[in-house]
Amino acid sequence: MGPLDKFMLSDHSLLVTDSGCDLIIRSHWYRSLPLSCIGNIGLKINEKNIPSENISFEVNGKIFSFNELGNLYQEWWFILDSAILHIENNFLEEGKEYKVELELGLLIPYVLVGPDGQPMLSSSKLSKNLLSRRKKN
Amino acid sequence: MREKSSIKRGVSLYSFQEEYFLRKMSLEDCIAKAASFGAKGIEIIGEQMVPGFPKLTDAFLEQWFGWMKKYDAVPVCHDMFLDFKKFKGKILSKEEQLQSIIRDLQFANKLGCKVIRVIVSTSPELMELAAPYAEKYDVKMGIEVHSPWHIDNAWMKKHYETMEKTKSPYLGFIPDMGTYTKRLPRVLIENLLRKGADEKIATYVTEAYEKGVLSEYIVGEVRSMTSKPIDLMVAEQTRFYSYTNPRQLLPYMDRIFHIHAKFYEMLEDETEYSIPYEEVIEVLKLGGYNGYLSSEYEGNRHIQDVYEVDSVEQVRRQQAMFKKLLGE
Repeated sequence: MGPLDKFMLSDHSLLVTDSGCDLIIRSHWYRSLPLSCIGNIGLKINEKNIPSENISFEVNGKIFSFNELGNLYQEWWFILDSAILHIENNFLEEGKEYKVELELGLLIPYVLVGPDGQPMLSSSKLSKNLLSRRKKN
Repeated sequence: MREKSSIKRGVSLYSFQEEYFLRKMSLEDCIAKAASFGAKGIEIIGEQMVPGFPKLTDAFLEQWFGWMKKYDAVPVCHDMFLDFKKFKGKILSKEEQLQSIIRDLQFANKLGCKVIRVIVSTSPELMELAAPYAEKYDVKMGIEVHSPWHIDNAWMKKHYETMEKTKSPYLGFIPDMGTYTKRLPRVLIENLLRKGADEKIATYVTEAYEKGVLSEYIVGEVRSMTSKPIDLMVAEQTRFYSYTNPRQLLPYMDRIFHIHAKFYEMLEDETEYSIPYEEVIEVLKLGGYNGYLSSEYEGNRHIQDVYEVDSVEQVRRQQAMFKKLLGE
């Protein structure tokens, strides 16, 4: 639970693309973090679970697979920038409302907890009904 | 008429985090607002408000110093973090930690800040290793004394011993006034009540905290009353807040580089609900403190579920209180 949870998704976050769909998200932490601090992304669209290996993450004009994120400690997600989750092969209808459930777990690298000094996992969940729109090219 | 104090006023731009995050205020707006309240000392978190951190471009620096000139403000402090665990499966080595601090010292130096806030978890050993670099870049390193720590506890005592041992004028403290939380923030408790906490339990916890009952006893008592997680959460809050006598700062005055004037809720009458600033500022005056009192608003997270956050008005009220208490 972070201080900015409710702002992770806006009403215009869900986009229909030729290869599936995009979800535009904001971070929920108050400072920027390297991409290596993204611990987990849980996503359901209309109750259908989207495995993280089907999600790629776009920020700073670059696209990374979910599995690459853990090593990207010099690539920052600036706090004012949106990131785009590209979801392949999840085709949606345009102009329809979908229930989107997002869980974003951020590993806070300067707060170590527990006997082994693991980074604190700040996990935020948000559920929102979003109207899908066609992505403009 | 109060005698005018030499204590200076500033704002940590962290205070405006909500409006900034929502893009209602730009970095320039944050600086302009702080300065408009006569709080000319600017404190910044690089990771929050400098695009491209830790790099600083010439274009950004030109803008930054341009804003300082335009609003008659001065850069004072950069808040650094030590990202111990940014690598997968491995913690930063001591050498990597040192390099991270050096990076922040250089960053602060370029921004014109003479102080960095060192995050509380930084070890005294690392401070000692970094001291020569602090001198090289002419940036003082203040360890943040953040509740539930306080300036006299074991961790801070070790830091003080290192300061004395090295005799470095570049090592000191940045006390966070959250250490003087006499009453639990009302905004915090009301938030938990909205989430379903029991009113009687909340009243017991807040009263017990004000009386100075040990957190362990409060948590134990509430456990005997209920097993509801939300009620236990109310009791657990008492672990994260503390009230100690502000006079404990007096022996350390020459090591205090900067002050985080934490606050949770400024009331309409321009007093803080939880922290007795009148007591705190009397002590700072008595000790001859002449650094900055830097506003640090942290109430937004407790009210954003029901209200539109107005950090600007909150900071305005706190600065108005400081003006009165400082005799300006």
